[in-house]
Amino acid sequence: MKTESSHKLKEKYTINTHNINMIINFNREVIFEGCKGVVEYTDNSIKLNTGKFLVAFNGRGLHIQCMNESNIVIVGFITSIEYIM
Amino acid sequence: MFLVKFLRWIYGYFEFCINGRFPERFLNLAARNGLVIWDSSGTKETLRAKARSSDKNNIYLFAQKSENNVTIIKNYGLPYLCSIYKNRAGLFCGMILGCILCCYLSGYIWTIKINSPKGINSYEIREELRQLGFYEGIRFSQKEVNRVEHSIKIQDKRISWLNINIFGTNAVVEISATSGKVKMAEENKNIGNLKSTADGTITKINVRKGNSTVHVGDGITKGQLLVSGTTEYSDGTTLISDSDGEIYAKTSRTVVLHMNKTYDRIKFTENSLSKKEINFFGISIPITFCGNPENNYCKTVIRQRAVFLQQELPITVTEEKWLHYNIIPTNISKEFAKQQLQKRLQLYEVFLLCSNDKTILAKNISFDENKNDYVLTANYIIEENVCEKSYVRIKES
Repeated sequence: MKTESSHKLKEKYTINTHNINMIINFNREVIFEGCKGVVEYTDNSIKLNTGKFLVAFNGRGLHIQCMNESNIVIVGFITSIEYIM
Repeated sequence: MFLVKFLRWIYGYFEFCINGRFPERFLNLAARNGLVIWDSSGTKETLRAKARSSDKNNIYLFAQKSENNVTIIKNYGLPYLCSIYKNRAGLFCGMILGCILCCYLSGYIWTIKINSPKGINSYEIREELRQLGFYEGIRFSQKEVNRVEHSIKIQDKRISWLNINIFGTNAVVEISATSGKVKMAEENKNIGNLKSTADGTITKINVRKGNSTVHVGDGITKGQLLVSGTTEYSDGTTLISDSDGEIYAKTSRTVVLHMNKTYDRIKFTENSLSKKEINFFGISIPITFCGNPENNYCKTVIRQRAVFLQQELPITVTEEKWLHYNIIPTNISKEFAKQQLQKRLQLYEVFLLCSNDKTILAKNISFDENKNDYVLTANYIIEENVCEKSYVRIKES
């Protein structure tokens, strides 16, 4: 995981494992590439299947802005990201 | 983002709700099959989202496969609007007619803006253009525009260059005025004599160049040679040179001023007439229905153009005001006439003496009355410089 500490307002993290990319804009938006399906979709939690593990986004007012076969954009107030192996 | 929203609106989209035990399954199915879904928000066992109108059948299919129910909440976009109004044929006819009308009217010139330089009145140019057949409401033709450009350049000598630029339905007339008269090539002013400009008696001579042919006390006539530029020497040779100097002479001048005993005074009465008309897209619609009055009426015309957002519209309101007047013959008293004529004479003296080399030595004023007018006669004796340069033409052989 790389951290760009110079960006205070807009923190950006990039994860690249097994063709999975995740771009996090502060805690408001996540652009997820390499998603194989949505496992759970509620207002407070969105769980994505990557094939090898699950990624859970927890927070408030979460919703999927748009999605296609492998990409997904999640918008809302994200409080935690959880990796479920 | 605006373009995406606009395209979605053009193609049409709808908002739907998925109810079932696993709405996530529907999402995965849709994503794997290339369905575009946006603005989704989910609660437990319910999912709301938007999709293109063309994907409606697939949405139903995938909802059935994933054991969910679909409810259409609302339709958006142009196809939906068209389907609402599909039974109203008049609306579509109106749209088509509107488009045709718009295309047709855009072939006309609706506003003419004239950028005239200083010294050329834009109203005059507008009237000249009107006479040549170029006015608001004519059908645009490049050939016609070229003809008008050419004609007005010939007709109006003040214009050196005129160009009519057409921007849509607006015509902008750019004018360039002619410069002043081109000066003729200067003559050879090196050689010349001095001649007299008036009859009189010489009082003072001041010659700087040339030979004076007159003396103080001599009487001179108009056009007489005063200073000659040619000098003849005893050996027979002649030197031709320039002449310069001042010769002052006493001259007499008579000024006669007349004033008629009666004059016609114009007095406006309270009778007036106002005519209004609206010019709308080249068609004049009279608001006031009355003819033009005859005899002793003068008119003023006020044209006002409608302007919207600093853009002139093809709507003009023309108001003609006809004012009635009476011609009253008025007699002038002798005292008043004398006063007025003396004022005019004073004005004349101011202009007469505005050049420094003139001095009034004596004057005699007499005031008489004829059958029809009053006459003021003034005799002046003036001392003035009577020299006038007369250039000599030399032809080489």
